[in-house]
Amino acid sequence: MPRRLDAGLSAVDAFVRPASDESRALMAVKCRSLLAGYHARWADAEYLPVAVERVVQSDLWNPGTGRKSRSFTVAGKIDLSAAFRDRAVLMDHKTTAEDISDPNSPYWRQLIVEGQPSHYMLLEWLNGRKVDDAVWDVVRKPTISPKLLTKAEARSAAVTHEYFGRHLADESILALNVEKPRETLEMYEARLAHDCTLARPEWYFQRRSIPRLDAELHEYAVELWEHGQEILHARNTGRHARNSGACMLYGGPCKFLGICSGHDAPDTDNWRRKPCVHTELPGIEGDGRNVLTNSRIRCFQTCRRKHFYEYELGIERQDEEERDALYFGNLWHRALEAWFLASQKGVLNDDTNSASNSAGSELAAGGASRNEQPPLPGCDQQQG
Amino acid sequence: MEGWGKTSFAAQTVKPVFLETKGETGLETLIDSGRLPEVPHFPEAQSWDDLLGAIETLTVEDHPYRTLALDTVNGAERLCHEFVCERDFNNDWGERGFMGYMRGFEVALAEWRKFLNALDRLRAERRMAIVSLCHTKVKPFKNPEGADYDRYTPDMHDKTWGLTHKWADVVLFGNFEVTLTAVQENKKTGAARGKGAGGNHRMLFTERHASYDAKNRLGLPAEIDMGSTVAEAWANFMAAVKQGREAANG
Repeated sequence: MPRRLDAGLSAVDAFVRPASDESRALMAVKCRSLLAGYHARWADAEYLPVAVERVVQSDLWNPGTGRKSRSFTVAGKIDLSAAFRDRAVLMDHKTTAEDISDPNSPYWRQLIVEGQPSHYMLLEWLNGRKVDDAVWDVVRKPTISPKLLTKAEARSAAVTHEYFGRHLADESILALNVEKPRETLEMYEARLAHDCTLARPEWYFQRRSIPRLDAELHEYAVELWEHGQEILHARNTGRHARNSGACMLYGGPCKFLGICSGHDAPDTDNWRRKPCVHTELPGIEGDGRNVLTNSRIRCFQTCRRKHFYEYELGIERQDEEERDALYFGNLWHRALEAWFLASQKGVLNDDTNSASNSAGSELAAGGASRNEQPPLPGCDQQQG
Repeated sequence: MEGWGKTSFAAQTVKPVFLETKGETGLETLIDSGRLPEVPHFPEAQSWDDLLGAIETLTVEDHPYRTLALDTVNGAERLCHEFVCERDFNNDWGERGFMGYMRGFEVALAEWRKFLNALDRLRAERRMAIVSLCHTKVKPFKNPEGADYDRYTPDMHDKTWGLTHKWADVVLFGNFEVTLTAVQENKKTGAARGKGAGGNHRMLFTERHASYDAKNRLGLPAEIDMGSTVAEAWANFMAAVKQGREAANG
């Protein structure tokens, strides 16, 4: 097995504990299959990793006056910084249930106005690294599940001990000896891997550029500053308006609905304070309340009261469980982190271009020279 | 406007290098006929990669040029669409491919942004001016306040042009000065028809008008007389730019 793929699969297995429930075990199987398909589709792509899962932080500037914020800084975690044909790009890994194979699908069209690429590109620019492009690396979540086997399928597997090209373990062969045999996780993994590797790779995996013009980044910088001012205003006045339209977003009730509706309170035993409000950003100093991230801005835009609980009070449920979608996203990120790290270090990259490490160093050197890029208009070094 | 002298005008810019898109041979014709001296130019860009590659070359390699003259930006758009059609729609220009729901034009905007970014980078890193020439077409305008009318528009898709127009500092429209005489109204249709006169005196328009697109951030006068020679046209234009700068600086 290619070592890069092996590194990714090992990361999946390490993330999913052996005693995990059925649903999590199924997610791990999906992730393993997808990684096999991902490797087949993208192992030869020309992206040469420079940094993986890098936390980036910068001062917040007012583009209108060129003054630095005394209240906020900006931060984000960039999944991958890479070189693509000698150009500096950043990549973000996404999982979705939406159609991604049509380049004009709503998924891709929405990204024209999406703030996240702008946030990351601006962050890099403010740190003196002008990125040429942002690439969205998207995987569509499988819609097929373990199925009942037809008699012919069961017979064939029992005779050949193979299913979709995979040699079956004894456990799977034993499972065929029932009246209505169903795919074991091993068999399902084999069928899904075949589907996303050979049958429909375009359905599962797409990468597309989400470029931004300098003028658009400048416009985002203005919006970011204004959001900071609005958060400051809400903080100073203690007014955090609710948006009842957001209570049932993301397929379920908001975790703060109980507090908002008066059935619960932040100071009960149900809740605890997070040491840092940005749990996804390791290494951020302090409690993170004065750090603006893309997630935070989106939360503030969605519901100011939710933003208050999440990022100002910084509370979470004592018994908070990770939602399945979030769990799958984290699992996939962990797998890709290992997959890219394996090629970045040059230790495990026997299945890829061995020049990746040196190219990465060249990019880093080139990145330093790009510090000569003109700063964002209005962003001189005044303190205000 | 065809035959106005776009290429000759662009050849007057400071240390220009021309980048011609597929099918644009105006520069060579002018050089061959002796109407322009030898002007540095890239080989005609046959593909989107050729075009981006030429811009990249100007960005990273040493050269004496101060102005990139892109001849033409609508030709560049065509190369972009050909690239996207091949990459995303298996070269199918029909309703099942690029043209279906006009989606190809939408998808191509990401590539177009990359192209504008490359020009931005060229300008920022090499301090080069970018002059893009464009053909026009006459297109009906749905007037919400009265009768519809025709106007000149760039020969590009509206969405590509919208992005380009927003990106550009200056959009200029060159035309010939025409006067209408003996205007008569058709009694049945009410349509007016006149007799044109003139049509050989070049003008440059710098502000949006009902019949054409233009804009400028240089404080230029609404109209600039281009005189009777291309050298005079350039001199008049530069004088207007200087005047605009002086006015802005008080």
